[in-house]
Amino acid sequence: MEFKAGTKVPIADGLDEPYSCSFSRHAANGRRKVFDFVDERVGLKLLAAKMLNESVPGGSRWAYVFGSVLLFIFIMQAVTGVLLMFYYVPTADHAYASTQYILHDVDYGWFLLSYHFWGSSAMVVCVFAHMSQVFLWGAYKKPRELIWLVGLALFGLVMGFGFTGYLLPWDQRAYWATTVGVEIMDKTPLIGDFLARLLKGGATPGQMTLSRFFRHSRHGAPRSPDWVGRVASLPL
Amino acid sequence: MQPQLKSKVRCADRDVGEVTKVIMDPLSHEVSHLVVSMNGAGERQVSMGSVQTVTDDLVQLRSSSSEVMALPPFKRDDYVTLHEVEIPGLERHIHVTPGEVLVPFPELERNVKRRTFFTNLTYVMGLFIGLPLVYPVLKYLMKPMYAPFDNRWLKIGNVGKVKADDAGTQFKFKRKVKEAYLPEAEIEKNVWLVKATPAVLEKVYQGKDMEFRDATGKTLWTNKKDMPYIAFSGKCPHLGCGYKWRKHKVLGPVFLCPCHVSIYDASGRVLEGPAPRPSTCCRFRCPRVARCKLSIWNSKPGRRSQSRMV
Repeated sequence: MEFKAGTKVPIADGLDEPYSCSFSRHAANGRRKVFDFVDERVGLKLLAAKMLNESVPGGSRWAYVFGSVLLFIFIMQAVTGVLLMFYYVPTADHAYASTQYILHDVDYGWFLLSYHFWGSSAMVVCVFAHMSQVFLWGAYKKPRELIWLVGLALFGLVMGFGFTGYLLPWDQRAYWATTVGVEIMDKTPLIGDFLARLLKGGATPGQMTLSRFFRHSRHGAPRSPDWVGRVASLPL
Repeated sequence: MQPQLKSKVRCADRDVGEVTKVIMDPLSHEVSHLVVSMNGAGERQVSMGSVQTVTDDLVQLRSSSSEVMALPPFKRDDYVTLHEVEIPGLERHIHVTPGEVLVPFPELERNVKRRTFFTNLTYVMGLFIGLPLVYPVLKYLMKPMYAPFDNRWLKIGNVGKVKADDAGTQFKFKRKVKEAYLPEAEIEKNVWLVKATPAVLEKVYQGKDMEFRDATGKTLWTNKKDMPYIAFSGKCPHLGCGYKWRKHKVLGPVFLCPCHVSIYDASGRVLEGPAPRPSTCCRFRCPRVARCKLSIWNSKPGRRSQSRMV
């Protein structure tokens, strides 16, 4: 392109604009200074630009929201999960009592526990929606085949969280749901017995099962945000 | 070759200054303009079209210096830095510090500020969703922090077994404790009961009834000054050891703590040792000799003040 000196570069109007910006040049001075101090070190503007000004080829669609929704729910699961651990005890003699304590005695415990409970269900729903979208839009195709594979691994992780977290209240429903799930795994040819024992930590479900499931629900989580983040951002 | 920041700018006739900023075209990802500092005479925006050659540290222009000077001054407000916008793939085209690279401030944003509005709206909505969650979470965490004192009356048994006046008699009993979701537990407790003569009573009460208040300051119970029985908490106020009624060679019969040899007389007063305050009196009531009750009234050990413990 050829421009005369002093003229402005013409830019495209409307939605196809290749970039946009979001900031206020005329903010109050003091606030500005504090903001600039933090921004210089943390990169707030860059972060906000990344989150809000993400360029979506072909324009944004409601169908694209599930990845971000998943990330949001996941973060909330981590937050509420950490909060629940303030009171929850993963031992066979206290798991049920401490869950009931959270539900009935602790202020807003019912809220946080229900949030965690429904959040895990919502995550499973959103994972299916997200994967359907990726599949139907063909977003798994070259060069994104590996993202699809990572997504499959994450799908397994989400299902794993759902399965292991279900046992933690240690009530009848939790116990028998886990028993059924593990028995299904037990029927796998050749390695079924090994896998079932690996999950149960023995021949029958008990304290070892609770410990293992809690470990998965609790400690599986810190390793996955990195994954989730990558999957969420890679398709850009 | 791309023009470099800080390189000299030479017109057809002479040097005019140096490159201070670079303006990119967001569509073509090419450098469209250079900003030239005119040796202190303000900044001018020079199109790449008037650039003849670019070498390592020199930009040669076709136009003369007077032509460049005649250009309108550079308007910084019409541009934004790459800090403030994100243009995919632009970094691949240019290798300078992003702060120095400008792109035109889009016409759409300039007056309407539509995007700024929606950005701030997003923040405000996030705030409205996030802030109300702070209170429940705080309440959730605070639940066990301010548990009330256990002010229940506990039976200690028949005080008829106290034979001698002004001598300590130990009463052992059990106290039930229920903490949060844990099953109810029983712990062993003991108090030292003294059937006091008026002289000792005077030392304890100093002419006044002893009032016991709960955390809010409401009076729970008053130990009357003429009630002959005094119940001392079984814990030494020094560091919480259990003490005994023993005969001391010099001081006679006293309460003696084996841990650090704090010594109290029958009225609980400290005679010797590191104890910071007298032995703690418990709430005590005795409607009948066989049905005496008290309420544990432990205070934090090692302090002068009697700040209460659960």
